[in-house]
Amino acid sequence: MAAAALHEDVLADVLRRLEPRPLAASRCVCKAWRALIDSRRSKLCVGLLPRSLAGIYIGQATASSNLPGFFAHRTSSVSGTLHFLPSSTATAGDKPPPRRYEIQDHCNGLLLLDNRVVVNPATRWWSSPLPPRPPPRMGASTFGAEFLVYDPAVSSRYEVFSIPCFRRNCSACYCCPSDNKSGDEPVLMNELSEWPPLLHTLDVYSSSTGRWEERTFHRQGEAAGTIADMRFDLSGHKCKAVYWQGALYVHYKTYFIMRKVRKGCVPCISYTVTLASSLGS
Amino acid sequence: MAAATDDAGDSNEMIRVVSSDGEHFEMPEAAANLSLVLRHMIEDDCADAAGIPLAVVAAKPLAKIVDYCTKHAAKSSGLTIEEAEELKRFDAEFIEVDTDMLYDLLVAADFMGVEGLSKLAVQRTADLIKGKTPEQNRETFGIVNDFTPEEEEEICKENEWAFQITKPPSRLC
Repeated sequence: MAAAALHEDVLADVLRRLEPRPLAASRCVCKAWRALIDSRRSKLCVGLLPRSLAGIYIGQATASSNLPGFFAHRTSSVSGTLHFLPSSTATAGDKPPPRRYEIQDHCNGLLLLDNRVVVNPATRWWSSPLPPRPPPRMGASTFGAEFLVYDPAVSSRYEVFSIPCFRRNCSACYCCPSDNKSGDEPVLMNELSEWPPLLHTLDVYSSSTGRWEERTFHRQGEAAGTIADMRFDLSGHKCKAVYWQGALYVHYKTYFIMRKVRKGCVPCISYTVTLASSLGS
Repeated sequence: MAAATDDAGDSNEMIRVVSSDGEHFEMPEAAANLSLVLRHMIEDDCADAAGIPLAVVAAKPLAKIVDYCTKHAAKSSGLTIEEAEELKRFDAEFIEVDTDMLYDLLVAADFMGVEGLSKLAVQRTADLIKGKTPEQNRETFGIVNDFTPEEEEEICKENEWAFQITKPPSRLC
């Protein structure tokens, strides 16, 4: 069968019906197939991922467990206990106590642990701890929340985005810098300035360079509010984010979603910030 | 244009088609209407006794397509559950063909605009691809591997997860 001679649209129609795994394997058949799959990636590879679910982490680490509970089938090939990680407190002859981990963020099977190590439980791979992040560029009344961006169908490289979160502005709150050193800290921002700004610079860690780098995003559309609005926050302080289909969606408590679009494949060149439709928390 | 249409007689009219290698086939108009191309020809009064020439469809696949359309046209509306299931069984058997015929059907159904058959052939092709290694797929579909060994290694590495579920630890502590 001279499938190589099939009309592109017919072949694309065939490939569109493949699950992620056979689709990815089809990239290796010949150059024409690879070119077709890559050129129609957005249509063919929506959510292209190895969809075999090995297990789910639930809850938080407890006294009896060094990790959030891992809910998996008995026959799952993945062990959620991360027992393969080296213990930082290991000394010769002394059995170290199991290290407790909190999962700070996760993306498509990769975990970012609270010791700033990135782990893939399925492949038993782990990174060295991320290098220290630059200090918050907007001053002490903000802090960075780190989010993983990883799509194994696109690349084995990953990125960690540091998204600025705003500390709550209230006198009773323990997390507000009480010793505000108002004289020392330069005024870095106007509370009434737009958020997100037209040009938004973020610190992004890239696993291909092993460094934090600055990346600037251009806002599209109107701002969601002001920085003061972002401080109005009734539950936590940390914004939430999820990476889906090439975009990182950041949810601030003040009811808007910031969408950071990745253009093209990793490594990406240009990013934009788009305000998506507003959502209740 | 001059042809006055007789509504009552339309559905029983036989439409003649001619394959690229000169064989003649007949099918009811309702069956021909399942092909977008034939329907337009009929609407434009191009269906005459000489038959509609199909320049890119050979006799072998055309015979199959006539068969498919005739079966589906006869059971186009108001299907009972049994009839729908029978049609499904017919489709399943119909598409059990070798890859050469499958290729011809893909091309012909696409050319003639027979939507249901296109879908059937496309799904069958996709099913053939699933669960095979790239090498097996090249063999099935007669494709030459035009990657250099280095390129192949790199592309397989990029899509490593597609070939294996787990891999050994990439480094040891």
